[in-house]
Amino acid sequence: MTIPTEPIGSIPRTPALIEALLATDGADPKLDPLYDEAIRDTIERFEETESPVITDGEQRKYHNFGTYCVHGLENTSPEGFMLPFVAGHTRRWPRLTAGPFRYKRYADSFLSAAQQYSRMPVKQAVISPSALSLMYPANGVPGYSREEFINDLLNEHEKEVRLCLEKGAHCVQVDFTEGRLAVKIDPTGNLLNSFIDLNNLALARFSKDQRRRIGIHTCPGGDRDSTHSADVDYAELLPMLFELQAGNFYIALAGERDRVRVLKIIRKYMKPEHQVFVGVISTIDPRIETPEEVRDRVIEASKYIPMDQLGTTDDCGYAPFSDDTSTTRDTAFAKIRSRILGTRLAAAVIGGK
Amino acid sequence: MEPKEDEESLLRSAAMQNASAIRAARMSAERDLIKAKEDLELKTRELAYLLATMRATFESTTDGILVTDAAGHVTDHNEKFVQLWGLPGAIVDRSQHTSIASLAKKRIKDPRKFLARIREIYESWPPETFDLLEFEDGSVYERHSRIQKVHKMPVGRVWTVRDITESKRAERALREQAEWFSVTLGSIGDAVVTVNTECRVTYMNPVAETYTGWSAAAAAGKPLAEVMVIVSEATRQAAPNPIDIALSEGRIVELANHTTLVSRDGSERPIEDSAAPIKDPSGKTIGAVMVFHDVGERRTKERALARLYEAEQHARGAAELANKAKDDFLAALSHELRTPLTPALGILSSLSGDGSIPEALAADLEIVRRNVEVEARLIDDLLDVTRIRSGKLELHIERVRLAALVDEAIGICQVDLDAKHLSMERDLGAADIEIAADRLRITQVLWNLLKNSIKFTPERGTISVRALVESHGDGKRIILEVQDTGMGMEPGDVERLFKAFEQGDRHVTRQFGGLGLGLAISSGIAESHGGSITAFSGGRGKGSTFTLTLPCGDLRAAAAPDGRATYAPARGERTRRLRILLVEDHADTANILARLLGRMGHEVISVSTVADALHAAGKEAAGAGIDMVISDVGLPDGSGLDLMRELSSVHGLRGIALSGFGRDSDVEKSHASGFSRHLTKPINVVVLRRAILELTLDK
Repeated sequence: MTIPTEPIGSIPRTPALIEALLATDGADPKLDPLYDEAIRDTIERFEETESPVITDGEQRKYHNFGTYCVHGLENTSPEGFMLPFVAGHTRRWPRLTAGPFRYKRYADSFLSAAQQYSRMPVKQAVISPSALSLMYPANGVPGYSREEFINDLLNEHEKEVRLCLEKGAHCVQVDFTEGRLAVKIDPTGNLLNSFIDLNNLALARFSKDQRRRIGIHTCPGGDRDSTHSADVDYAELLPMLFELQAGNFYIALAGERDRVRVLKIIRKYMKPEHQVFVGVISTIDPRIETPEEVRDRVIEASKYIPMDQLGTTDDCGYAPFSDDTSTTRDTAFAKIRSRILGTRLAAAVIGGK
Repeated sequence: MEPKEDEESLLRSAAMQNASAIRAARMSAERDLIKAKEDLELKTRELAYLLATMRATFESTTDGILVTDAAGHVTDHNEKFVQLWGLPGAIVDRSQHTSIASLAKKRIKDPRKFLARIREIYESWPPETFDLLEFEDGSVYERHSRIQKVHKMPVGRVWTVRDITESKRAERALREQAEWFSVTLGSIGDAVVTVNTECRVTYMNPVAETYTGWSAAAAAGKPLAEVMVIVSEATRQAAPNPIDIALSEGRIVELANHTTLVSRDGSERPIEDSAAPIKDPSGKTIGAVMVFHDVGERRTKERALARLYEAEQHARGAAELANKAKDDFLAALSHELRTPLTPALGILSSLSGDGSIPEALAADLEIVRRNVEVEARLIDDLLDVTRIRSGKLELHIERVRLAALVDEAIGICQVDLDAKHLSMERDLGAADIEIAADRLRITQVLWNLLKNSIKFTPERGTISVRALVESHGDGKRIILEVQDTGMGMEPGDVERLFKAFEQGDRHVTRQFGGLGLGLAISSGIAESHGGSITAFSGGRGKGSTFTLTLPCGDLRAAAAPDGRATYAPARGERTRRLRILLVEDHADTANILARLLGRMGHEVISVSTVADALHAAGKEAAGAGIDMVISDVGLPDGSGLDLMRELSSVHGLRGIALSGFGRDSDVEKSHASGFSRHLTKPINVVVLRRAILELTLDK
């Protein structure tokens, strides 16, 4: 038997690319050769890990996993709300200054670039509508209502996902890292519910078969080996998370203090049609897990999640922000390799039973 | 580092406002969803109906349908399929096609081939197949199969099976019928040609081949006008072919005669032809058939018959002419025979009352007179027999009282009754009614019967006349018996009594005289009235009874009495002195009539021609005038009829015609020209006196 295993997405950029990005804007065409080389190298190394599903390592996502699609829009300003990380640093979200809202770029362009270098299944991560909804300021945009914005946002997200599906993405992963953050901001759960509603509105635009190829990734946020909402209990998030009409769920688990408790919550709320990929690699832990560790985590998870619904993944991307150098590429691929091997070991053990 | 309070507040505010907008979007989406759900339900219902309709169509088709996937697994079938194969539906459901075929093969004539064919189809997977399946019981099925595609992708195969046993039988029957027709049409004596709607030959039987000179194969597809050249017998011009009319007008064209068929080698034969449209079951004309035959032999016979007919007509005309000549001769003979009798009878009549003549001479003269009268009667009888035999006896039906006619007849015979001292008993009370009859002719019958009885009854015998009326059919009839105590007759004689010239016994004829025509004439007259005369006798010496039966007839249609002269004598009647213009070219007749009229006390102006008569009438009109005209009809310079017409119109004279012609048509002509009476020669003095008296009284 085999247990499906997939990466989340980002891989630390190559040193040359990071160096260049420090000197210029990420959209500068002069960076294209560096981007291409970074993608080629990333895919080559991904294939070396024998990962059955690969990504482009989000080498071209600038400046991060969430704002890549709006970076450079003239109707935005950088003075959006601030994401505080436990490590003490913050990341600021852009702010919409005028309507209408349109993406600057769509993730299918990253997918196409990656597919040039590999025949392996390539998954593509996109940012969730709920995360981008935070771009609309509290005091509104003159001449452009919040309702119009929500509608445009859904249309743009739908377009991006549909393009990726049409181009043959193995899976389109919607990054929903703000789930736990929403609980943190609004403990009543209303904000989380609205995020779930918004994302479901987007998912409702796809067929059942298409939704089987769409997944939801949730984590406490990872940047520079730190998180922004790890203190929020999964018990407050997961019940609502499984209400999302997606087929796949990528849930950070390895970094949790009480994995069994989380697994029990997952078991309670997951649905028969869900494929649950649990995180078996802690991306904020600089230590490289051994395959055996991974194996044990998988076996542990298999006690709570039916085998035909169980998959493995990393807790998060290794560098959601392009300038993150907290983890090296070597470490990231080594950890991925451990996940691949550990998952195989677990499959062998479980299958041997 | 913790976010600043205002940053967090701002984020919360934005997020919560977003939540509100998202909720609105969600509600909108939910409304859309509800609408979509409703639409979906509607579509679902429509789809369900469509599927049900398709299923119903699937089930209502007359074909058996089986649907299999590429591996031969049954995915669907209709009830007709299981009915046709006689398999339980449960077995067909979700079975392999080959398994079903294995169950069904025992009914197939060649099961090995049947199974092999199915395997072959699955292996080679042709787009379409067609097979005929023959069964042990004689049934024949037609099997089609075709690849089933969904969204252009092959998903299986649809097999349809149709029982064509009946259509095969019908086809065979049709073929046999066609052969039967071909043999039949080939066997009949008439020529038969059929054409299609373009009037091109589609069939010819052997007779048609012979007549036209074309073989059926050579004629097939050729225009009929090329194969059948028809010309008019009379004009030699092309004659219309009836098949053209049958095709164009869609109706049967009856036999057309007098046409000639010119065959391919130029030989000709007269034909009779007819044509009819050939129609399909919907009534549409799909061709026409022409039937014709050679009428050459018949035409020859017809011409021979026509010649015979012409000859017969010629002979008939000649016979009729001869007959007319005979009638005319008889009439002329009668006239010529009578004419000489008139003066003789006139002289004898005038002498009979002359007291200066010695008694012995008077007796001799009386004998002569009776014999002249008999001679005249014999002539009349001969003419009557001729009329009756030729059906030319003309009747003038009028209302008459039979009792009066009997009395008249008795009156006529009174002299003879008295002479033989015969007793006359008469009982006519019940018969004193009017009947529709010819007065003169019935009087003639009664007189004949009485004369017959008088003739054969010895002296002092008795003759009884009785009559009664009885119902008969819708009307009444009168039965009159004349019974005598005479010599009677043998039963065998009775049958011959009423046959002309076959009087019972030649001895009797010789003894009693006459030609024995009276009873035959009487019987003919009675039959002309719709009646009869029968005779009965107990035998020799036991007397005879003659029974006259006459229908009373339709009195409403009968004319009123016209007062025509009868044979009744006018005894004791006297008329005043008249000035009479007598026109008679026969000198003896003119002399004796003048003497007779003179003795009657009349003044006679006697002339012999029309011209003299007109002259005399003109002359006398200026003087004492003329009271009456007595004229012969045939005069040397014209007709007495024209004369009377002139005298009547110019001088208002009335007249009595004297004629040797006594036919009814002659009498009518006399009346039409103005004569009031028509007397037939020889003139009986009594009758003449009576006529003069009646004219005087009428005037």
